[in-house]
Amino acid sequence: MTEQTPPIVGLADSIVRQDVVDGRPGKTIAPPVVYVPLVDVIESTGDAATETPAPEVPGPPSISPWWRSCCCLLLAIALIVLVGDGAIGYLTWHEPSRLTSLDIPDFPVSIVPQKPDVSTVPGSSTFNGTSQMTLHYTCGTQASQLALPALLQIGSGRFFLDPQGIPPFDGTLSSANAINAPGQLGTVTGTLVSGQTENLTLTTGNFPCKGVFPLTLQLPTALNLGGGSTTGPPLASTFGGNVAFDSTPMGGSSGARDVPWILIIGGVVLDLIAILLARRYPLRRDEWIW
Amino acid sequence: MRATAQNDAFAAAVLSGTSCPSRDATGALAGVEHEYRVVHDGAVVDFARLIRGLDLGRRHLDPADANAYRLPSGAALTCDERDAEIALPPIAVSPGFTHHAVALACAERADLQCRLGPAMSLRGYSTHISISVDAPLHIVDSAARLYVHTFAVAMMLLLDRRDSYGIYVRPRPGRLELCGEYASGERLRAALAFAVGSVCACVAAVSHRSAALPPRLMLHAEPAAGRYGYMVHRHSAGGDLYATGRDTVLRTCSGDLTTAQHQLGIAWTSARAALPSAIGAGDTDAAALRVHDTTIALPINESPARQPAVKLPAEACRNPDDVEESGSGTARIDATFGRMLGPLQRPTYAMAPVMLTWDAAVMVAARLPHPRFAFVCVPRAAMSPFLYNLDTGALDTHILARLEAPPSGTSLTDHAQTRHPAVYDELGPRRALLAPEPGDGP
Repeated sequence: MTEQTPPIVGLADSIVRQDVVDGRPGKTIAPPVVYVPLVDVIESTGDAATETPAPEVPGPPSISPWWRSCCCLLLAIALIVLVGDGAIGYLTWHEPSRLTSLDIPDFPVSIVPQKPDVSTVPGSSTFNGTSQMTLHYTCGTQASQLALPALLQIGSGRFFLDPQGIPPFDGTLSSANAINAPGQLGTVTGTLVSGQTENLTLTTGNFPCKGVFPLTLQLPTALNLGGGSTTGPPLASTFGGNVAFDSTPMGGSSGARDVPWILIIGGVVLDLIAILLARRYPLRRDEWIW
Repeated sequence: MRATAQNDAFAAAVLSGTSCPSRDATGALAGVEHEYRVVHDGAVVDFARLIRGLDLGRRHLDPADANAYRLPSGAALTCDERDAEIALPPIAVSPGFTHHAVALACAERADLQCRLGPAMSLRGYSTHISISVDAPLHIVDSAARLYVHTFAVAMMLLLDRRDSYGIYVRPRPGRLELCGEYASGERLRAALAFAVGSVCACVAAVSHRSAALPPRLMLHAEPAAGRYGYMVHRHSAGGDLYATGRDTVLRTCSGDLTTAQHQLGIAWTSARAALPSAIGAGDTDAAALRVHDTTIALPINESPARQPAVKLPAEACRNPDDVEESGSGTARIDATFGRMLGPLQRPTYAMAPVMLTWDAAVMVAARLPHPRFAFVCVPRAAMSPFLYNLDTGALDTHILARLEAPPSGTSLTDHAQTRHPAVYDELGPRRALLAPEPGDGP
């Protein structure tokens, strides 16, 4: 190769180099998309013999392809972010799920063991915030400590719990497995303190949820009493009922409230950077994107 | 649709005035590759270390071979491990093609010798002969397996030396490749003529067309090393073919006994009958002489020690390390592949290759400094008419229209697209444009 390599060979070499990356298959090489003045087309097709000679096409871009690529990339990212966060907001904004009913008829009855006398009362059932349901349990007065591994199953409906969705047993939670698929069993293990009210919180993910779902609470067949006694009261171990939720997508501009603000701020910042770059390195008319 | 219509018009313009077939017929093309050991002061030199310094031009035009260089003559020079390898451009099987091939091979060897300088010499190592096959790969594979049992022994007698191991029979996309000992001159002419006829006969047989075949021999071929194919070892037929030569006793699949000389004679008769009718005695004489005149020494009858490394003067077109040489061969340079190296300058635009293989060329076309460019794909069969019509200006309108119109999104991404002349806006990874090799994964 000499120093007088024709430009077309240089172009060909640059294309070949893009395709040869450590011997691995390369990437698609696409031509720059440019605006072509109409007069050029007319001239090339031979229909403009009497036309004014076409002006010279301006030279190659005055900025490097790297900068142009950066501008395009930033613009693309900004558009994706702005469009994306709006879409996410629209899709994820729902009216807070309402616990429309809680029907666990055998729950307070079956949990009563013989000795010590532990009674569990669903003192209240509230539904606070987005798709949260709180069940309150209160242990009886005689048991000083109660180990309570529990199995919680949400039935076969389109009901999902996000991975952070089961934080029951304040302060003494030892483990909790999220329920994130219909029919999956989640395990909650903690220590119930005698006389203390514990909360079991079910949190759905950011999904619309409407319908009635079975809920099962399974208690152990052995109670770990205080002082090391492990007598096994004949508990009815499984209690069930139905939980009804109603969460309806509402749509509207306020949907952005569910979108992380960082996305919006990031989109605006990227837009500003792209605008600054575009002002610093403007694209000529013949480089404009079709 | 618009791009499709434009490509149809472009293809018509490329092929106008010619009767260019879209595919190469079986036996229509022959290819020759030679591998050489490079010797310096009696020691073999690693050619891979030398090739970059030979000022051979642009690399990487063959996506499958990072070491390959296309030469202005149209040949390709690369290295196979430590050896130098010269591949001639496909040669049309027409009257005089064996002389043409020998002369081209000799000229390319002399050219390489000239590039290496007087301190180094070349020692012939192997010969690969490829014959075009217009059939799907599984048919080529069937033909290869048939070849092993019918013609391989005869080819071994014509091509190999006493200390050779055997030959490879490799099915490749669009061709069948026979690999054996280094041969040049009359020996290469004989092997070429036999290869064309024998491959044609095998392909005809597996394609259910009438073809005379020699008796099938009882022998055990092994999988070829490296690339997919079959190796017929010197011991594959039972004895040692290279030790006993024409007198080797062979057993046919029907249980009969025969001799290598008898098999050679029948095989040549079959191959001769399958050769294109235009091929006459001028190309078959070398093979016929070796088959019928048992006083002619086959390569296996020569001393293994007689393979000196020879410094060839650049102007020479004969290989001194062979006893016989072609007396009438002249290197008729086929300018097609050399011209495709470009650059191809037109008054308002230019082209240069970004991929050049034996099957197809892909050129980038641009009207610099205008930033828009396009990719012109030209299959091998259309290269000559493409160059002709390009020179006449018949293609300018089509290519300029693509360079000036907004991109239509057409992309050259698949091997099947390379079978037709067309212009594309984008070029995909070039490896995807190569024909799938046997043994490639899905």
